[in-house]
Amino acid sequence: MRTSQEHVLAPATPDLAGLEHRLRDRLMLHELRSRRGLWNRLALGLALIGPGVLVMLGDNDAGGVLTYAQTGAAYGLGIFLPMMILLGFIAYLVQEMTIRLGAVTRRGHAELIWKRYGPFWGWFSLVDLVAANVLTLMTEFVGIRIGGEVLGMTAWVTVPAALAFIAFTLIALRYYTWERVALAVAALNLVFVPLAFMAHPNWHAVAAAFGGHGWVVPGGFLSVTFLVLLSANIGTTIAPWQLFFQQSCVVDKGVLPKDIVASRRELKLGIVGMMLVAMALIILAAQTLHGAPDASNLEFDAVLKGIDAKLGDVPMALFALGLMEAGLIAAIVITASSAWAIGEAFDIPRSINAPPRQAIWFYAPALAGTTLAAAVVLLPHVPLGFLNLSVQVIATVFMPSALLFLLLLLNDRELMGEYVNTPMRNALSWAVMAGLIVCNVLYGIATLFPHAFGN
Amino acid sequence: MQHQTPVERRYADKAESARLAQIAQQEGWLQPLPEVRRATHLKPWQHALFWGLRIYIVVLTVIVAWAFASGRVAG
Repeated sequence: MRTSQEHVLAPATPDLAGLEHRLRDRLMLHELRSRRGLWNRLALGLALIGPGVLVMLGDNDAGGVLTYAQTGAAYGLGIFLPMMILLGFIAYLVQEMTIRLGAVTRRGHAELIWKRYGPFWGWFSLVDLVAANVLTLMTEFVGIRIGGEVLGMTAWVTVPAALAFIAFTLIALRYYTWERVALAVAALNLVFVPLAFMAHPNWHAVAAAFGGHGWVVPGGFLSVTFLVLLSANIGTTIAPWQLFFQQSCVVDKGVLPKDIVASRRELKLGIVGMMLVAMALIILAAQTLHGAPDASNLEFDAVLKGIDAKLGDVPMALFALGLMEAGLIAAIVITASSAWAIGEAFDIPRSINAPPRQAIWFYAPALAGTTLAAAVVLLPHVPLGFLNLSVQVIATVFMPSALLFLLLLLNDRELMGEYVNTPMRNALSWAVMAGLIVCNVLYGIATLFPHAFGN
Repeated sequence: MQHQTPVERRYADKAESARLAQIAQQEGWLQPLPEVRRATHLKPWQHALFWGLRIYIVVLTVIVAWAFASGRVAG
């Protein structure tokens, strides 16, 4: 039964679904800002953390864990370690734009593309995003399955349990609590950091890698293996779902232009976390898997066996736990990104603050996609290689448009007002976009035609 | 947790409603968002970008379809 507050504050219009909860969250921030003291400042900082940390730690998904392991196995403590810092800057450049876009327009990415550029590009973006998300979710559930099996749990327990957890947190919790739970799961991503220490790397060599030592690239910087791994690393750092997720998350959290500075800070925090985990995985793999045959194409089983052989059961179990977490946090955020994008495209109530009875068509399609992904993974002989390939192929077709729309919207003064990109930001962004598109295409072609570049 | 009387609860509810309404007012949550209109007057470079994107998508889709259909895909 609707309370008197709901009648005043949340009239039954679609875009005000869950408004009362959002106002409570905003009131909490307002009150924390008005109080002094260290604990209040810490509480405020924690309350402001959310979309940026989730998107970047969610980026270290099951596929990303594998990519970083392959990278460390193939190139050891070399160029890819300092390259993570460069990728961090690139991630900030791209993701920061989604913060501004969401905070200023208070609309999600899918909605802006649809309304500004028409239904053709709206449908194109939506179908690509949902298809890529479902395929990516399959790889996340594979990670959960494999990690669980190492820990002695059957897939018939871990996969349904993960699905139930994702569904419960999305449907039963309101935005703030969903965000806190997701952040708690994301924090476990850092389990890979102590694993790097357990591998006892030569820390002098690690430090030297940042100074140019060990940048040995067999075959040269234009070799297929290097370019493909470079593109894979870039592709795992910037994925289409991240653009849609962070913008919609910023909108649902109720971030306003006055909160942009704080949101940038928490994005930087997320990127630091992402880089630390990526570097830890590269260091771990360099110690345990460097020199393995066909290192750049290792699968999960080979990675786990390599860690077990060199470090023992406990590190292998920790890695398996990290793999499950990586799959779970990515599944949580990717499911949310699908839900928001579908809601925005069809202009239906679209907030995690909205109760299911008010927003069934917000929750149901996204969870249907996640359920489909989980069901496929329970089939015997899941073609993981084919799934990874399909994700990359869709990203190759989709990523350029996602990036281009982002830049067009950030240069749209009618939408952004004073918050449009500056000339310097544009110069950097267009250059990075061009590079990302080239790498994306290269990776897609190399994935489809492994011998295309003469290897 | 202190036990509140029904009267105290009613006053607390009203006080919270007032604070929520104040935040809604201050931050503009009850005002309709500005309309997002279809971009109809694209600049020449934007037209070129969209055509480039269309060509890119068609070419990539053909390549992908051919790769899958001809069995060249490495799965």
